[in-house]
Amino acid sequence: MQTGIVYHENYLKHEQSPSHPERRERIAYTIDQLEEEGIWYDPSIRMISPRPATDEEVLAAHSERYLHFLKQSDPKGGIIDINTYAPPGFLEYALLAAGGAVCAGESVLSGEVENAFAMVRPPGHHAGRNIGAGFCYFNNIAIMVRAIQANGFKKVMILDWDAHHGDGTQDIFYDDPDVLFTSIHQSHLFPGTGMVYETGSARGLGYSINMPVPPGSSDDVYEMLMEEVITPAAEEFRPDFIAISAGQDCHFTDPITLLAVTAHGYAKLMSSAAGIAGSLCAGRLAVVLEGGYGVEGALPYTNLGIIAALAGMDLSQIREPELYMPLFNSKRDPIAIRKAREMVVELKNIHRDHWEFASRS
Amino acid sequence: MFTGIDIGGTNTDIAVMNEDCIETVKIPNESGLYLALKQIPPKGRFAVSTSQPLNRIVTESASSLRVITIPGPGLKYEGAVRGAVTTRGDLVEEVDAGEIREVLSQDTGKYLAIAGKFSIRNPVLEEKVREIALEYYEEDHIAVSHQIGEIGFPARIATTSINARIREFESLISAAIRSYAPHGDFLFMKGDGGLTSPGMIMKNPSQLYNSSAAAVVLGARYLTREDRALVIDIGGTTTDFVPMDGGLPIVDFITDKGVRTDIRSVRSLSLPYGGDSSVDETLMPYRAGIPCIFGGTSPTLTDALWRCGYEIGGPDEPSGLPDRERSEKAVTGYLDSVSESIRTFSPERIIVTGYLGPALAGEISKRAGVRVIVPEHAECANAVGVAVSKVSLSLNVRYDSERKRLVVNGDVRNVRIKYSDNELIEDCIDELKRTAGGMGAPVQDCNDAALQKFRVFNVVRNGIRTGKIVDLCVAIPPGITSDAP
Repeated sequence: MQTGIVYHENYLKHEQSPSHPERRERIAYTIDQLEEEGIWYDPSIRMISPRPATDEEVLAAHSERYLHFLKQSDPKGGIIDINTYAPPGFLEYALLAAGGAVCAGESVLSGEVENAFAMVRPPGHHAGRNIGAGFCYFNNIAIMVRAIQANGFKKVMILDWDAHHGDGTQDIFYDDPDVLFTSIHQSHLFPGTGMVYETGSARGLGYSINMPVPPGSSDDVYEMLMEEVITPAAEEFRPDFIAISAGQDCHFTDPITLLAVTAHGYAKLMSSAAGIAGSLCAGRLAVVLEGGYGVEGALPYTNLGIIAALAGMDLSQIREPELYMPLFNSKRDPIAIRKAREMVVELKNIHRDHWEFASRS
Repeated sequence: MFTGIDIGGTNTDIAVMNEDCIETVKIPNESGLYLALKQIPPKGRFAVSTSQPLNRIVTESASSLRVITIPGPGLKYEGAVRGAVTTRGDLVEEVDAGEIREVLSQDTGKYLAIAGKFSIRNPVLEEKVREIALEYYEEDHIAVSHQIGEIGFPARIATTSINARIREFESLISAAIRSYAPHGDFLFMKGDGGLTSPGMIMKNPSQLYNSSAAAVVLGARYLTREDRALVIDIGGTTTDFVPMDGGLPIVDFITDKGVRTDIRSVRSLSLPYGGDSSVDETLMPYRAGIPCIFGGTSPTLTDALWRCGYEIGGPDEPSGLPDRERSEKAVTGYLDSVSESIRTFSPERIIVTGYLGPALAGEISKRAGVRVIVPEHAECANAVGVAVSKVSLSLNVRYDSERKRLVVNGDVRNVRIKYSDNELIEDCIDELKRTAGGMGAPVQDCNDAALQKFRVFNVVRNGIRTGKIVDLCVAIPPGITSDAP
């Protein structure tokens, strides 16, 4: 079986401004790395060409009023928030990103590929039901999840490991007990949401699990959270499909966050998620690119590590070069693991009525 | 005056072209390259296709080859040592000289390939390893990957591994040509049908691979003016089927042990039967030697064709010919294989070349049900193709305005001026034309120099655009020189 990579050169065309952090170089440098690694010629990889999302697919996650607003803004452009400008003609690329996520999910469901990585932009996880934000217009992963559910796979687990909380995704599924939203993110970073006590509402109570981690958190923190929270939650939830909001901005070379995950740590995280999917839902897993701004640093080989892990390739050389190690040592906080463990204690306490794993210890 | 030489599996074919005539000659390889080179006139342009001997080296075992890779972060590669260069060409991890020496001192193979990831952006680590390797290896037994100039590390590793084994051959043949040919300057034919200088070939000798198949298409095009056909070249050892489209062969990248390489080669199909193939109870897929009708001692396909009444050789029957029954069986078997191969291409038109071409054209046409053309000088169409081909080159360029660095086909240059996109493209095309002109290409042959790839990235520091990175490729495509008679 193969790993699908959803990609289109139009993903390089969207631009809020040439110097905006969410600029086309985010993917261009990764494509450069993939070309140098010969990924497109690897028999375990299949490139999947996306299509734009339909209105019907978009409306499964967003309100009609919001879609109308975006369509109205498209010809002349518009302001969505202080960080998010909608340049004229943005809609074509935003719909292609959402459609790319849908294609990733569909290609897994159809059995065309074992798992898939939608390497799309603009990103999506800050876009809520009625609003865009944080460089995002459509919530790509939410649109994909709704499309997966429409195909009969009702229970979907989302793991969002972007350094910023996936507030838009949480907003869309906050009251939905069929979608388990889990998020690991840097505490007190944009958008400021994602506190441990944000647990869902109405029938969705308990189905939002937020894990804010302190600055300086590194691979050990993420491994601990996989073991202590994500894996047991998945085992209890028994998803039909696992969807990953993959922001690679937790890497220690990222210029706009303060986390200290390594490329190898990311690859292992991806391997663990694929392992959970393998044991719980026949390997059905799709990954959607969110943030990651270390364009010239580790982003290219971190994204490669994600792909390598999905395709079951040897991860031993997904590593950091010597010159980056002083930066890693300065960014990593050895105390972060202790603080993260305290957060887990609090999290389990809050979720003890929702989840058995939380009430066990 | 244009001279083309194609060193084939059985013969070396030579074509000498003047304004008013084409002279062709075949010299058996047994007679030696020296005899062939003596036929070259002392003036005019002289080009060589050497693919047959080289193809043999490429397909031989690689047991005497050692490969050192410098992959840095990313996927796992065999033969890896420390060291890393980023996508942008920045050095972020040095090689360890002690580690390199330790690797090289163990069971040194005869040839060495050195390939670094992103070496096409900065070859410094490959050069450092090469420097150390010179303590252990002959210079022309070492190949480095950055001179291939193309992105794709696995393909560069595979291509460099082939280059390491053929640099020595290329250097020997260049020296032989220089010492025996009446004038030193000559050009090599590449696998895509274009010509280039020995200097360029020394950097990436695998470009020579399978050039004979390209030569025969260019020869067929020149001699018939057809631009779309299936060219069937019936040689002594093989029969090759090469489609022609737009007057040129169709070029693909070849694979080596399942890995795509950077070696461009024409799309072709080869049957292991030719005029010198042995006839035993039936036609055999190996060469018997010179046909009996030309003084040989073992029966061949050519002899079987003579026995069946095809117009080859003289009327007198020599000794050693196969009997009628065996001959008919061999000829029918051969023609069946040819017909089956033709069907895979569904051609509208066929051009037959090679010394058996004129004799077999009628039967091939009857069986395929399409028109078959036999050009004049069909027996040496390959050498004609070498003679009339034009210089073809490409430049793979990366420009980093912030680093003030220009990397052209893997060679780094420091630049002071800031290029606009258009200035850079124009400069690169000018350089391409100058280089081709330096190889003797007439101005008209360079008029189709064109941009084949262009992409630009911004470099942003603290929210401010501080530079740009441009990747581009400009090329002069292969074809027939405008100066051809």
